Amino acid sequence: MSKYKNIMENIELTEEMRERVLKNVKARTNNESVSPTAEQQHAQTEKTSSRPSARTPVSLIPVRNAKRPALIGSLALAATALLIGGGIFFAWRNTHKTTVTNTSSVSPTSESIIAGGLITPDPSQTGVSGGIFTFSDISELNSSLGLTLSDLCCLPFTPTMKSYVTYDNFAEISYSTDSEECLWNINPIKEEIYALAENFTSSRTLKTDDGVTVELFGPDENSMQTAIFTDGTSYHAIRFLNTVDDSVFLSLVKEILSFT
Amino acid sequence: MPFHLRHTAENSDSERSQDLTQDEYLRGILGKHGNRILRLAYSYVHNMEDSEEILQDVLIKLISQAPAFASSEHEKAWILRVTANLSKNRIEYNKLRDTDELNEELVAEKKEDLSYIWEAVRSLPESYREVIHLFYEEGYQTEEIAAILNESGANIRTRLKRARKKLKEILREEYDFDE
Repeated sequence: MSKYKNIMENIELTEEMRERVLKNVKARTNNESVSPTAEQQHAQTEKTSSRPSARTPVSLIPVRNAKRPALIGSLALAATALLIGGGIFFAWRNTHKTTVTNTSSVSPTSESIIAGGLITPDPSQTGVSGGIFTFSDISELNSSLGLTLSDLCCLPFTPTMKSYVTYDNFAEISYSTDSEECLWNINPIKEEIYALAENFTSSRTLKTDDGVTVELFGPDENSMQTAIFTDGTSYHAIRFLNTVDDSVFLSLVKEILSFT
Repeated sequence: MPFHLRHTAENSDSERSQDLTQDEYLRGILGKHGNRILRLAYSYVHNMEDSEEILQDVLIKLISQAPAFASSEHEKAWILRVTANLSKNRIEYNKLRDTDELNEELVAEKKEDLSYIWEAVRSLPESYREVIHLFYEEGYQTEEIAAILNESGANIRTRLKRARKKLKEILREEYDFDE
């Protein structure tokens, strides 16, 4: 046995820690409503990506550490924003003559099952806020939300998995492979879209040929992973797992603006 | 059947049983992989509070993504990969606490030799530490480590070789790391 193993033997999951972790996980999954059903578990095939999602965790985490007052403050603000946002989004949906579609009324295609995107909404959460709704393709999402979007075709990789989900105020479209991912979020609330980039330390601005401002965010000046812009009605975030060139962002922004 | 979604209020008996099923599933995961996740996370972040939060995040990923595993080895590799990525994200965003309970424990237990080695490992770059951990603690071969970290086998072999050389320099051959 190596010395290293001897060292690591001193780190053990205690009973107290186990119970605390389970309690926190339960609280978080209850808040986020992301628990898939057992049927989903079985329906998903080996094509499910083994790579972790690049999605930012929903900030409804009960914070155990009292050393983080700033984070607690942020969570309180986020909760307030969600409450306000629910109302605004309701109005937004009405503007688009939408009807929220419960997954139970949508026949999932084999593609959506393979994509791992089938998230059955909690029966107690079929209202506007708090529900998670998954669609089999973009036309289904469009007809539900009254949008006129198309699948992105300027991606720097060929996606093998796609998913179309709405939750709370977000519409989120995911394109991924085993090693790449692009998430496209659409939201009428500016703050909620910008919250997706709050962890990045660097940002800079680009302009499209049409003069639309695009803000890029990333871990450093030369590694941009997220772009945020508005089409005048909604805000959009394009988030990549890996760094991409400015030209990719500009092409995607141009493509998205052509849909609206 | 690993677990179910939450339930309506009028279905309280079902709720209890289904919650229990999810609870049992997570307990099973913690029983099999709890120490593994905690140790790998600790090898990156060097404190227990962050390691515990990474452990929570791994379980959340497991529930939200519900990956279908072909084998227990596949499950283990998935969990280690997610743990490594979540740990690196945490380091990247500089959210770490500045404590090292492991070293404190080793010192308290008068295991100075292990404390000395741990300090040496801690001083290595992150890219060396992760390879050291997966090789010595998990017993993976370099090609398997490459698959988990999504890198080439040659790259992993180089890093392992350099990490061992660096450790040897730090420890001045006082301790044989491989013993």
